[in-house]
Amino acid sequence: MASRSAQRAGDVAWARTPKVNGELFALTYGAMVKRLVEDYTEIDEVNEQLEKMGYNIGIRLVDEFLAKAGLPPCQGFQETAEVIAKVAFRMFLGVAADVTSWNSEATAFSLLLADNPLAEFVELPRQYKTLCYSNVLCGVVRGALEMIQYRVEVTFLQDVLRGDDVNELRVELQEVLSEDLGEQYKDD
Amino acid sequence: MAGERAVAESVFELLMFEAFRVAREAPGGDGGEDGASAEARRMEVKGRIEAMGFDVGYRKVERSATEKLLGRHPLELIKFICKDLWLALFQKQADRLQTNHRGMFVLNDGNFTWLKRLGHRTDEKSVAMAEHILDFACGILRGALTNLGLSTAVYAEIKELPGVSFTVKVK
Repeated sequence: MASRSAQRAGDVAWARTPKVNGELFALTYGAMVKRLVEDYTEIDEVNEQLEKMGYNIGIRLVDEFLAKAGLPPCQGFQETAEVIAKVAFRMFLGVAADVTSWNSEATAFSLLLADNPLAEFVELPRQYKTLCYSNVLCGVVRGALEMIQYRVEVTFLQDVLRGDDVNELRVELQEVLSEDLGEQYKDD
Repeated sequence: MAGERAVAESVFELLMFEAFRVAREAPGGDGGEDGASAEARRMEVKGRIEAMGFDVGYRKVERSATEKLLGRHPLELIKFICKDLWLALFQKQADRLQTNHRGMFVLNDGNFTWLKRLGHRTDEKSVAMAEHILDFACGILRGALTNLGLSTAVYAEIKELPGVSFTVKVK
């Protein structure tokens, strides 16, 4: 599916989606991050918890996406990437992402998010400079892709909250899962 | 209310449920088997959720109308809550406001948005979820009122699903 029609599908899906106040969403996330930082002494642990949380959300969002986005199944990883960026991000977060920086094997790409609804009004104090505030997004993408049989690793390469110009999520394909191998696959 | 940006309702709900899970699974409490510590654990979780709500409510009103509302009569502040804050949080206004004019207010919402998904389910998990949702909402109201200069105690009661009444007692 061409990028433009994915964009159109994203706009249509977004228009139909019941919505809530974005500030409420950002503040709820912020309150929860604050809670995690208080509960876990190591920032690395907080980052891990945020990713896990994203995973839990991602695996559930997929059902809704498949039901509401009204798209035919994707043909391959590249098309999947476009759909995630232009349709899924758009219909759930209200902002589409851009797919860039494919590697030569077409097994890794970046998602560029100019606008991060989670980070509205957020400023990271210096002692939290290793906190990956929006790590939940990495988990969401990982969880969602796993549900459609792609095992990936997602990391936050660039983070506006840490001084970069743009938010960049790097998605790296580890394994294409097969239904038959379901039992052998272990969750890490 | 400031901030016209929106996100999908489903994403917010999933986030909220994850926040509740974080509150339930937080390290620190040892969650013993006997009734007493299970109850203590439950109260601890309740407190955490309410505290998260407080943060949200406190900051939610920060950018709106705070200046012109500070120092106003409690009734005006509660009316602001029933109209503006309710609209921002629940996409509707509260249905009815009652007061005894002596510092107690009851805010009624006959169709509380956040309980919609639970329907009329009465299984243990749904009841626990409803409780978390209301604790969170009470925290938000208390946080908002605190930032508007009013110190209160807020608690909620399910009337007949999905109707809820919030009682606000000014301290």
